[in-house]
Amino acid sequence: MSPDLARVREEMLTLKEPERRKRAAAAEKELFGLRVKHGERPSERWLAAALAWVGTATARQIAANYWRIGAQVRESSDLAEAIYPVLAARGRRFVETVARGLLRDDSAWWWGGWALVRRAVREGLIEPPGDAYIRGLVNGPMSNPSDFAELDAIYRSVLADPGLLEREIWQLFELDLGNELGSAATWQRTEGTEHPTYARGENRWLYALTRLADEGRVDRQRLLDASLDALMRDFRPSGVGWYAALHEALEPTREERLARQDGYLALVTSPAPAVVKEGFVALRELEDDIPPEAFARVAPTPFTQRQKNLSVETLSLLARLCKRHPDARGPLLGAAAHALAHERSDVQERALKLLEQYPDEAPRAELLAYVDAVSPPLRPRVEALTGVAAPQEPIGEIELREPLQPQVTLALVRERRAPLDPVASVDELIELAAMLVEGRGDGDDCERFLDGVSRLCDQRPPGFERRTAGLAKRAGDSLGWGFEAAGAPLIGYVVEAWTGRRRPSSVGRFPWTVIGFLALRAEEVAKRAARGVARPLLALPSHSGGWLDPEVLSERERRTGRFFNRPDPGDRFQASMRAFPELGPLHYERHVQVLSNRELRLETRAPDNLLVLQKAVSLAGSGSDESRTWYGPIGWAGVDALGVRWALTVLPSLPEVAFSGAATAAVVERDSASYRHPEVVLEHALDPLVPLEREAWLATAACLVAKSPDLPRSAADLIVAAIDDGRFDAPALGSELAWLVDNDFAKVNRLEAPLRDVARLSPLHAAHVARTIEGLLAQLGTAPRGLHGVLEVAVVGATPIGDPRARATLERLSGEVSGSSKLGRLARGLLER
Amino acid sequence: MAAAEHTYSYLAPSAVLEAEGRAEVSLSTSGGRTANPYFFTGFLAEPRQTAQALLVVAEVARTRYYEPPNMIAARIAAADPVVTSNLDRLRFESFSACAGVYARLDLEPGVLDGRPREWGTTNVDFNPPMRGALARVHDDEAMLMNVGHEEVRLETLAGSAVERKVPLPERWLKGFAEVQVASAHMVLRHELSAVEARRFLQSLPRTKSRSVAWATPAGRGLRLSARAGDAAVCLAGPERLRLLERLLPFAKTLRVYGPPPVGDRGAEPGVWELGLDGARVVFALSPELFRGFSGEGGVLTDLALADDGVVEAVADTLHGEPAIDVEEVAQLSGIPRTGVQTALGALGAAGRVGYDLAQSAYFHRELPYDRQVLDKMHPRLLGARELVEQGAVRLHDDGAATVSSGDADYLVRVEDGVARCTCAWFAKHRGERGPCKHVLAVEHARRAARVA
Repeated sequence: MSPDLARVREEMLTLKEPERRKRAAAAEKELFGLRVKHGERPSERWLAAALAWVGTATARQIAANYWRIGAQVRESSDLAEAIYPVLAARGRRFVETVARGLLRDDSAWWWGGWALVRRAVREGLIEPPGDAYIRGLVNGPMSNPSDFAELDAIYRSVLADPGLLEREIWQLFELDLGNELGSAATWQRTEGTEHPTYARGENRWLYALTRLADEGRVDRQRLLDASLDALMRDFRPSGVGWYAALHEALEPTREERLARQDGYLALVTSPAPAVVKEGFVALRELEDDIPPEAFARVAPTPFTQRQKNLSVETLSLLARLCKRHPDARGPLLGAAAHALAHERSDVQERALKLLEQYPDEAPRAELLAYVDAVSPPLRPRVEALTGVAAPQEPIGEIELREPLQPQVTLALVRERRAPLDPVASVDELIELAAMLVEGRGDGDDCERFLDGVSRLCDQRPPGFERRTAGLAKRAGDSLGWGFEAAGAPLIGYVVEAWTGRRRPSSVGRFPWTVIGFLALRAEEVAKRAARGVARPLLALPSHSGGWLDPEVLSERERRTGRFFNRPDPGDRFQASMRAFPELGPLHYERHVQVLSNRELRLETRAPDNLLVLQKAVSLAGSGSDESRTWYGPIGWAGVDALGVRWALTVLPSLPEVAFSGAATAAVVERDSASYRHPEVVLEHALDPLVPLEREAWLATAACLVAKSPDLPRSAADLIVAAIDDGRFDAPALGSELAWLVDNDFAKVNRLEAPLRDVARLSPLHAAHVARTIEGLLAQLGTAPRGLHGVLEVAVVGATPIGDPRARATLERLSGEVSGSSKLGRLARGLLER
Repeated sequence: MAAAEHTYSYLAPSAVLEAEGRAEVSLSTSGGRTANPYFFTGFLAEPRQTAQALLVVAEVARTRYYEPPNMIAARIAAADPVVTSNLDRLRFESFSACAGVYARLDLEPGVLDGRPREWGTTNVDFNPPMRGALARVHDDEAMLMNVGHEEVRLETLAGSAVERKVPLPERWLKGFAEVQVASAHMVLRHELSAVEARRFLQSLPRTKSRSVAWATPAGRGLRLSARAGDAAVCLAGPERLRLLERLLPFAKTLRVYGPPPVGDRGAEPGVWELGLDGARVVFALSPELFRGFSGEGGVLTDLALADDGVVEAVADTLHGEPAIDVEEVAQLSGIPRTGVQTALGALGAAGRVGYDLAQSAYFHRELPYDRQVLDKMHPRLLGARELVEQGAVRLHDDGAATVSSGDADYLVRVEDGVARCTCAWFAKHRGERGPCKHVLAVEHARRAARVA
């Protein structure tokens, strides 16, 4: 120990607390003013300053700033040896407060905080400070970063501190620490690559505990019991696997397993799949000795788990026990009957197979309860076992009609769309604006607001400022960075200009997007509102959905002038886009853009007369850089739901623009949360007056396979609605799905849940879903993982596969995979229909 | 956020003693009508089911389903569950730390082998060793449950007295109380068989989602939809319901309750009741993942109209009833039926009665927290009273009113029977979270004008 450090130590040990307080500020200034260069040893001065700081700072300050000295304490044994007595000299309560504070930070072990606390506990200065102390034990004993590569780092640390074996080690099994223990793996740097990568190695705690048990340093039987006990606690299911791994790593003998047979049986009833799995691992070793009645009592529980493998495992064991114990077949088959309620038809089929092996002993009364639960093709087999044909609702012949898309004409809009009333008063306008600023309302509301401000901006009734003060404040709050790319802030922007009579800034940053076009229109109105120049908008829709009756537009145009009272250019263009223009079809071409996230690009040939919006339309389905900002892509219609709802009213006769924008957004964000709201476009498409063509089905397909649960839900809603109103085009949806799968944009297993949901609605829906899967198979060029789940849904549809291309795919699949595989069996089953 | 510090004082830690094929669950109690009440000792049918259901209730109390992005560190310590003895049954209640999920386990008379000794409500200790032991309870052993202890029995329990201080934020307390009022406005919407319940619960997404989902009929079961159809029940943050999966092996039915569908539907609270053998587990979910029950304001109108004297008179007639008979209370207290109903709403908001949807009735239980805190938990109501006292409300002849608050005026008018305001609160919530303080102030002022 250096003379400086020894002198400070002696001084700090003798100081009284009031004296420490007086010196605290200076000590802190001295320490925090000194720097230790990375990789260099701290100077003598720094070491002395660190010790002086520990001797004078408050307990909370030490806990909060220990990270500043922790690494050096770890490196310098002199400092470590000096700090502990200085802290201890400040009293038990002081050290308790420091310990609590240190352990509050989950990374305390990294700075050596846990080691300090451990020493205080070991030397009897303080009691173990709660669960955080045990949580810290997982990594705490490792004394330097190089330990992370060492498999035996924990083993060596525990040997160096054998007191841990008495108490702390066992507490690892009483607290829910499976995730932390499971992460305590070695990490090995992989050399030879440009950027260093690390590979996960073996688990340090598994190694330490099994070795300690082998060497007789810890009680093996107690370790077996403790790990089994931990599996039976209510720990997080995600973490219990480590305890199971330890139990198996100890390699229990047959005798040891037999002694714990009741425990293993109890594991089978756990709600955590990993625990149930461990129960089966153990029971497999004891199969000859399992009491059949005891297993029959626990066996129904795994069937309530979603994981199919647990049900399959249970049924296999039941089948073997039935063979081995003919006398116990009654309860064993009774337990097997519960599997008929499992959602997966192959689990049901396995259960039926077992029951059919022993038809005379099948539990008829229990089976009757499951007749409705099994998938329709299996129902006759259950009825055969029970001898009772359950009454079935008569199902008429299912007719799958060709899709019929609506032709939206002026007459249809007049008949089916609600007329839109303009805002009547300033009070109504204030209320409408307040709602829109909060992001509520729809595109028609946005247009009513814009028209209302445009018409009524010259009216300032008494008390106007006070009545709009709250609204103006909220509007101002909404105008953050990039506000031009979202609907609600754009409303706030107009509100500011209207209520405050303030000249607005320019918002034309994204003119190549639909939201950018709306921003330009908002700017036109805001500029006039700031000057109090009132004028009704030409573009206010006459009917909901953004439609404008051409007769209404003519009438409005008659009231405008060529020089005075002249409509703004954006307003005039918008009006023409709403009044049933002859736009002609859009032509889309698809490309897969090779970016890091493999973006989808839709290249468009837009109609020539779109003028202002031409680029916006062509970019609607593109992941082009042009729609990006420094904070991310703004998409075709901005980043908030109101913006998308508003944008949907811009080109009511070209819904393909919105569908392509939605498809791109869903594809780009397929594995993350969806910030550009493709679901809003699908909700809009629920309207039976929206025709669903190719781009609509691409958007639906992209949403069906998205990770965010909101998107598949909206897509399933659209499929249901389209089936109900006759717009559903199963082959088109199947074809788009196949395109996404073949281009690696879709994980096919994500399709199963939403398609199953739709199929459950009625036999008609099930048939449409089966047809969709047929469409997928007909176009599929690859054999993606997880396809068997989708084929299972097709089985429920109960319709034969008629499309020769789909049959060819099924034949190819059954040839490519093993005949006994799930995929092979399902493919053959569908072909044999 | 204001928080009241609550102190749990248990005479001993709760424990499960296992011996001779018998599991003895001893739940320690803290607070209520006495410092450490003793409610019940008796055997329970369905030991494993009961143990698992108790664990589910305890888990809700320990869970924060939504973590505000800027408040990662603002965790509150887990509040202990509450048990109510209703003379013939026991009810265990808990409330999540995020104030968005309420859970209740009702142990009905059939599952208890005797009647509780006395009525009341108290906190119960669910410490980790106790939970660990509960998880091991199986059907082959008998289950004896003690809720509270006789003084003499305490000697046999291991461990010394437990005292724990927990800060309970006002919004948590308020939400716990207010969830009852939300339930009282619901009706049975769907009932699923055990098989369909299993399929639906297992189909719920694993990942968190901020958007609102709607449980919509699909065949004999339900599916999640993004649309609020007439038959749909709101299920925001569906992953919050997944805890019920643990009880699927015991499930008999799943009943779904929600408000009757009216007009344009926004996010709504919902109640999910899993029927077990002789017991029920009830989950009430707030209308949105990030929105607790505390701000629902469903009771504000009742509270504004309730007369303190009437509320106390109704409270005096209650003595642990499992289902409060409004007629009977009206007769006993001499208060008209509508007055009793309003008073029960006010009592619910103050945590003094709960609501049992299966019985369509309030039950008596007074949350064992500081009454003064519970009474002062409605800032909108307090704000409205302040506005009236300041003379900030001007009633107009056409039925509208102007309320001056700060440097702004707000116009309050009634349209199609719904009071509307030009303030940001109303704009944001459109009346779905109760009236704003301006609407309440106008109601106060109108009532005062009528009386004058």
